[in-house]
Amino acid sequence: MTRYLSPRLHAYTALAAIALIGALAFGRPELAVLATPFLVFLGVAFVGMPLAVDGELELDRERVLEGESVRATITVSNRGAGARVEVRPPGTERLRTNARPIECWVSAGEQRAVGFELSVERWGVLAAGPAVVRAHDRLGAFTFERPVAGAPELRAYPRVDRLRRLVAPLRNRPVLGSQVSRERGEGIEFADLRPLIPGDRVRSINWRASARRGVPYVNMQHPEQSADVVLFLDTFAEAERAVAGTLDAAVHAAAALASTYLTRRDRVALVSFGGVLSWLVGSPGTTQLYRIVDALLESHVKPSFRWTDITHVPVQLLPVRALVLALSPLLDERGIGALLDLRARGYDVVVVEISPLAVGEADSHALPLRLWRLQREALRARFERLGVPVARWDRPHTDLDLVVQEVIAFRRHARAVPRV
Amino acid sequence: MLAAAGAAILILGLGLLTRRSGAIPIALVLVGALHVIPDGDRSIGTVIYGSALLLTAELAYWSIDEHGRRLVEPGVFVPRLLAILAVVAAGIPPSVLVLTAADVDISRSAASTAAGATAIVACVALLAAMARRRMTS
Repeated sequence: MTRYLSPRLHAYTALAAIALIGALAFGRPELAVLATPFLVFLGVAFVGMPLAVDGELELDRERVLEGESVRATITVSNRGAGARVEVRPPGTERLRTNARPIECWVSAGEQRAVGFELSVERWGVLAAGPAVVRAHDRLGAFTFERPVAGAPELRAYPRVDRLRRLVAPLRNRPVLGSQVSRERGEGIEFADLRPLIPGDRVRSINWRASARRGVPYVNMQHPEQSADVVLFLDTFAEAERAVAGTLDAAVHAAAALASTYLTRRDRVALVSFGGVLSWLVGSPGTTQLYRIVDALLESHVKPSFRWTDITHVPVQLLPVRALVLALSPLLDERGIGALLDLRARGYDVVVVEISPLAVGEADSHALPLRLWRLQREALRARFERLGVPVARWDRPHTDLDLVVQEVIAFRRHARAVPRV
Repeated sequence: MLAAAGAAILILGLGLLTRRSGAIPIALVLVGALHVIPDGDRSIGTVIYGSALLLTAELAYWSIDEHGRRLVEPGVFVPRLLAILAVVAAGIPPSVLVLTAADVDISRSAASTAAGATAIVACVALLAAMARRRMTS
């Protein structure tokens, strides 16, 4: 709470004092006459009832989707003298408003509500405010300013895109799902033929093949199974400009991947690997999507110099058959080391490189940038030699679907190294 | 006279244009001196002149206060305008009282001058105390 005195009160006091001293010194009472209205003004300004204005900020929703708008209402209560109240909108970088401050007259004991539209620029747990209420007394002699009480939190969820195709894991978990397994067993998709062995069901006999070869043959199918997917969010470092950054893109990708895998009845886990290690144990279903999106909202890059490796991640989070989908800007050695370590432990790893180059505009011919790009190329080649596809995502220039397609194409032609 | 009046108007105009409130007291001093120095008028005109000075000062400060992009609801300025006019009007009777008191024939002495000086100091101290009380309330 701050109170200001109008600078003109000091000027009036000085003018009146000078005029009175002049009147006394030079014997000119006219000067005292000229000073009198100013003295009356000062007396009236100082005697008036004090200002006491409170404000409260409320949002019409607690949860909102990124890109939507939310209405903020500031209720101003006047417990003191009537005042001219100026309400400043509670905009921040991630919660923008184009509204201008509003001035209104609030009589003593009156309440006024002023509304503003806030547009949600980016996902996250956003605090509205600080909004400020400024009150001027009737003569504009005193100003009273205080921040508005209640800075409600707004949970802004990222927009979840649905992907057309997904990266299939090399190995599925033996639970019914929508994923056509590479293994052979009971299913719908035809896989191969083999001679009948005792115990085979009669309905699986392929009569045409049996007639052609003279011995009974049975059909083999690919079973429909579900997968274990671990979304591995590298939060060690981030390239950020204004509200867009690599973490922002990674969160969008994670939400889209989680949403699409979960609709296919896969089990999805989330590991946020960075200065702060957090995780969400894998589970299928819509509830898991809400849990993941809620967990993603808390994602942030916390600078840390502590060495963290993959041994810090609980073992039950990383099932042996899991597909580890890493979303990383590949900027921090610890994140890169963890991914190489996972591959060395035999995990099926896919890296979606959130390109930091999409965030900043740099002179592409500058020598340090060229060297840095070469280093990144070498790093990608290192991953690819280990059978780990690295697909670069330049958000917002490239669609995530194209990145997924790139990974699928790599895995179609490249042979995965079973164990390093 | 004309030069002083022109200078006062120029200073006030520049102050308003550049939004520098420091120019207003200077212009007021000049305009006040214009009235007092030449003839020493002790008529009701001086009372009106003093009130007009206050009105001019208030309007000038108000115009400097009103800047910046904001939405102003209709009728917000009315209370302030009425308050200023009321205070300007309320300043007339005390000014008339001071003018009447000036006509009383009191011989000038060291004691009366000291009493006057004490009154001025007391007046300023009283205003300062009132301002402090208001700021802390």
